[in-house]
Amino acid sequence: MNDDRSKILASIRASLATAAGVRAARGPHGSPPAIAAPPPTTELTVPAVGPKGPASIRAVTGFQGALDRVQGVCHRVTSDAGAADALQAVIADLGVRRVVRSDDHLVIEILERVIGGFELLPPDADRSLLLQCELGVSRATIGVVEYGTIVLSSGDTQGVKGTPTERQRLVALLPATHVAILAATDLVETWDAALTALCSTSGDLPPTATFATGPSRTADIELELVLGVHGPKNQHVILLEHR
Amino acid sequence: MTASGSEPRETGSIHHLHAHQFDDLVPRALANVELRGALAKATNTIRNRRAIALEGIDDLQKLRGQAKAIKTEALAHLDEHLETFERHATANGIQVQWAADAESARAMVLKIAIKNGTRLAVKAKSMVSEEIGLNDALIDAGIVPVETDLGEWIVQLAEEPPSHILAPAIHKRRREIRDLLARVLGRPMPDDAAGLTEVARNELRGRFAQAELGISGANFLVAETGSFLLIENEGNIRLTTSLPKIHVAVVGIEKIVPRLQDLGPLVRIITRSATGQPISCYQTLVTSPKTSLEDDGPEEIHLILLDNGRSKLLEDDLTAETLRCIRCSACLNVCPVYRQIGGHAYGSVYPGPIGAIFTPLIAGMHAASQLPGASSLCGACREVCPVDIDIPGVLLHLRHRAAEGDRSTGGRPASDPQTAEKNRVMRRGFRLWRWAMGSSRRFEIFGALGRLLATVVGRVPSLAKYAGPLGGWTNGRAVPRSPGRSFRSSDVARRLRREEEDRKR
Ligand code: SF4
Repeated sequence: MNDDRSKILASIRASLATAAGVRAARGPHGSPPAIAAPPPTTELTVPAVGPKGPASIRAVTGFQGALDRVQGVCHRVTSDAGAADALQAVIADLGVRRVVRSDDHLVIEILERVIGGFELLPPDADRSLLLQCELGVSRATIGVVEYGTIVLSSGDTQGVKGTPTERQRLVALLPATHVAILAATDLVETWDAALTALCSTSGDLPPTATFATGPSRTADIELELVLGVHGPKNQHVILLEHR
Repeated sequence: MTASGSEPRETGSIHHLHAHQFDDLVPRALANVELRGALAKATNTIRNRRAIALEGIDDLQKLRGQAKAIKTEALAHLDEHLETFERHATANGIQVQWAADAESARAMVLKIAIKNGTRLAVKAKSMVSEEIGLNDALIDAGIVPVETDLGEWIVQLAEEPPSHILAPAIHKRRREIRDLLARVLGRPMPDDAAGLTEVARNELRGRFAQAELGISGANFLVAETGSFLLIENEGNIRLTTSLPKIHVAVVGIEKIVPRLQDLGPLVRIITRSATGQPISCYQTLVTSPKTSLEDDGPEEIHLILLDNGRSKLLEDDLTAETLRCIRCSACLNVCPVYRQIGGHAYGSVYPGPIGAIFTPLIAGMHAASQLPGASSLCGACREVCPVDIDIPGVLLHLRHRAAEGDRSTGGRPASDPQTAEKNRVMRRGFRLWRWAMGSSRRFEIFGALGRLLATVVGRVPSLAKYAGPLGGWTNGRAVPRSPGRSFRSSDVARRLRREEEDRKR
């Protein structure tokens, strides 16, 4: 198998050399090479992410509108108590009995304000129990205004690699409804900026980061749009304008 | 190591390839009216969605230029980027292996599967997996592979190959799917797409939870960070890469991009070109296996870099363009040939315009030289291609390779027997044509002969099937009415000749 490695690399190099030879033989008057080197490095760098300040009202409404267009629901709140109310309403509306949460401190704080009536599971509950949960609550580390995207970075609660992230991978994936808690100061304008922010916050990438835009969907049967295939059917974002 | 030596390097292989039966498969596909109806409807819909999605982009050409430049740069230094990727991915804890061909890739996956006692493997849709025939290999080893993308699951249950890169069950009507599921699951099925999707969700949930192994492809490999990006709508890839303890990704070497920031423009253009959404539901960037006890990800991630004939394409700047492909499938939806015959008629897991060039380039001309002929060269594919691959140019290049040969074939024609026969007949025909055109006397004789034949066949159309190679032409067309006498003997022609002589004098 190690042999395959050198075989592939040798083959690539030989091919590139052949192509270069042909190009050279064709001379400056030949047709321009299809594979030319000029790299697009400079224009490609994305606009730098500015220092975090209070999010503009434009960003908040922009995010809300974009999420709405992809059949997600954005709840704008201005206090932690408001967030708890919004969450409570979602839980009551759907008649949810079993909720799983991530271990993010803000998520825990907000859930503490929610009046019971359902069973609350921590993220390390047994997997068979997780599979039965109807709703999951976790934090979104970044929100993207242009698409209504939320970034779910998962992995390492201990910070073995980079800064600690919450444990939310299955919380945001298995239940039919996912509620993300997003601080307005974590909004960025573009997808590219979110990618930049993702590396710059921890200096290192988390084991996995999912950029999620609206509920999961398919059009595999006669191209008819159906929401909720394998991922969540309902995507709610509680947007904390005060944070 | 020299490439120009007499020994041409071997090509790769494509599983279940029967592109040499193209001539038989096409009439069968054309006769299937139901298929053509489904295809026309579906491809039209996606095409329009794509057009609308791209209207929203101010500077589409600039974005295409960026996407093209990124892939071009990546390919120009493919060896270095792959080594960089390997270094970073390994440091992240991903186990990287290199597979020169399909067989070696299959063996690697099997070894991992067997070592971990796999009985059930969940799979996220992957063209490369189809290319190397991974499912059959798993089944032979006693492992059950379960496709989890809805369309792919449907065609797996129907025991058919996918017919579209992105919408594998595009050729199936809802009714057909309902009956199929009812038969396989042994209970009555709902009638609507939402109900059928719900059935799939519930059926597959259990599989995700049981599977010891998750298998996927990847859309992009990032050299700079050793990460890879998975793009999807359904969430099945997230499940495939989250629930099983082991994750194996099999990825073509051409999927590499140099920098993390290169993902931006590519993500921006790929979904718009593919389904017409501004962005897909999920893009998952995987950088390492789970790093702590509390995390929920896979304990091991194996990444298999597959060549299978790809590196050879770099020998020529034109064929190298093929490796820029990001598998968005936009070219399928606009292709007048694909839209009529559908994916299965190509006899390759890669159908449509991209399949017509990628298949013979990977599997060799001897296996698929008819596919480059499956095009009207209208150029629609290139017009929509987000990375501006000169598909018509490569098609012509391959037709030339089949008829005359080129550097890569040592100057000898390279084709399957069917194409060789067609080319032989054609060459004979054109030789005769040249001879007939060589003198005005012969021209007149052949003209008269042609008029006579046209008159006879025009009266008795059933004779057309004896017209040899021309029989195919008359299959779908009426023979034009013969004009009775030649243009040269008409009054107009005579007058023109007189004028011409006057001018000369
Ligand atoms: S050739 Fe171009 S249009 Fe066709 S699938 Fe590849 S990237 Fe898309």
